Amino acid sequence: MITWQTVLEIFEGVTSLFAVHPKLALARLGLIALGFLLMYLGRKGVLEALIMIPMGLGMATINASVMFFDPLNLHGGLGTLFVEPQAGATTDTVRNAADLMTILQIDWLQPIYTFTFSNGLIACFVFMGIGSLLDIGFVLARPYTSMVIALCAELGTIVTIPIATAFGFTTKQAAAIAMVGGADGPMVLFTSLKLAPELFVPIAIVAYLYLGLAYGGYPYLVRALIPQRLRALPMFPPKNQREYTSFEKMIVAAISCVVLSFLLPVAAPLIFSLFLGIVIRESGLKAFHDLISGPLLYCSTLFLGLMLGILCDANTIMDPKILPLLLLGCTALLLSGIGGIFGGYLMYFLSGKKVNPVVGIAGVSCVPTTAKVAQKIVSKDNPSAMIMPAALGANISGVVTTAIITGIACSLLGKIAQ
Amino acid sequence: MSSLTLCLWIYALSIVFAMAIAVVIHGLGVFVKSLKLDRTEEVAEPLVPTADSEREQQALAVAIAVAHRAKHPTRS
Repeated sequence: MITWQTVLEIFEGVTSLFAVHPKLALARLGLIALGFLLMYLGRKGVLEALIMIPMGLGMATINASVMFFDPLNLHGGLGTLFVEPQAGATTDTVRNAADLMTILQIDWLQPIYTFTFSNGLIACFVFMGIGSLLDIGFVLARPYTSMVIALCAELGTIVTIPIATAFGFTTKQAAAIAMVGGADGPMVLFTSLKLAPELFVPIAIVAYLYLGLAYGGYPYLVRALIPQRLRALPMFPPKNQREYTSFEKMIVAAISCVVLSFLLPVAAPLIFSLFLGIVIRESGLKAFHDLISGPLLYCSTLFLGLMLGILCDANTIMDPKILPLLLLGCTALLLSGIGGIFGGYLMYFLSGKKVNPVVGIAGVSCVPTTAKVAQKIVSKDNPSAMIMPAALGANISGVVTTAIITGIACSLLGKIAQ
Repeated sequence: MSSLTLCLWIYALSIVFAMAIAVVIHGLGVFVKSLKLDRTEEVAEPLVPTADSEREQQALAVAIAVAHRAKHPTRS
């Protein structure tokens, strides 16, 4: 006979809410609401839609679809059919292999997580796509200005390391968390995999959540720190600016790729991916360019956003480590934004008031988001002012400085016991 | 090594590496120009990454045109 209890058991998503601590149940409901909010803000253009819409839907769905199913006995009898990031995370290699095989045959997004997300492949795909959108000519036009701004915009990355250690994290964990200040998603994933794999999931979530929020938050920071008169300052191409052919840009990109990989082998996969995109763009291989700037980039971004949303289940978010990570991530990005604006001011004065200080925010290397943010802000105050080329130069240099810091941090800390 | 010393080391090394790379990029630019490669090839026009909307795309196009005119003023 069908009882009320039987009916409830059919709808495990609902009944599982009552099978856990009320705090966890409330967190699940809160995250469902947050997922909808992120989708709404993405759709409205307040946050980066490309990441926020799939992430928001993923976040809402993963917290709705919890059921009484836990094949690896990791979550007290509850789980989903989406992904299990902890599969294969024990010290027992035989058990790891068995767990991973089991879960690969059950969770539908596990192959994407295991074979593209946790090893950084998806980050490399995104970098290839970004590279195919970049014009290295912007860096060639102002190499020193761009690099100084980018270095200033790493303030958050550097300052957050001692702050995070003060929060009780180890030096390696602190460096992995601080990398959020570099605002370079793929580089954050890579560093956390190298230095603090135990924090990989929470750091990835925090990083991308904030990178999305930076799109909406940085304009307020810029308006607070730069007066309207300076925001409206038009910028002109530097005197004696050389113009480069595609062939010349390709040569520069190819040599830069080899030089950077030579100096920083730790960041070589990402450096290679970025410059591969640039080389393909400049080489005139239209079919490849269309592939990586379109289907590959958008497919990777879609699954990246989706995967990040799916990883935002209440169990992970309610982890006590998450709150300090949220605070530290926010601090890192805020300080990097302030540092970038300081760099913008520095170049404004050093250049004899020819550089619009808003360019500084583009030193935070969230390519090409922060460059677009900078141009949008300036366009509002002076529709004829064009700072995009300079902003993209700082943006690309930001990728380079973040790669440098990643390489140095991984090399230095790789030799430290903890 | 304390975390403060460590972050100062990381930043100092980053500055050195980044400026070295800026010098390399600048040098490469000068070098490829000196090669006098096929100058018949058209100079690549810098592309602007995708704008969020058609309106933004148009605004950027206008801004590029204004910047271009400022650089190459026409006599009237």
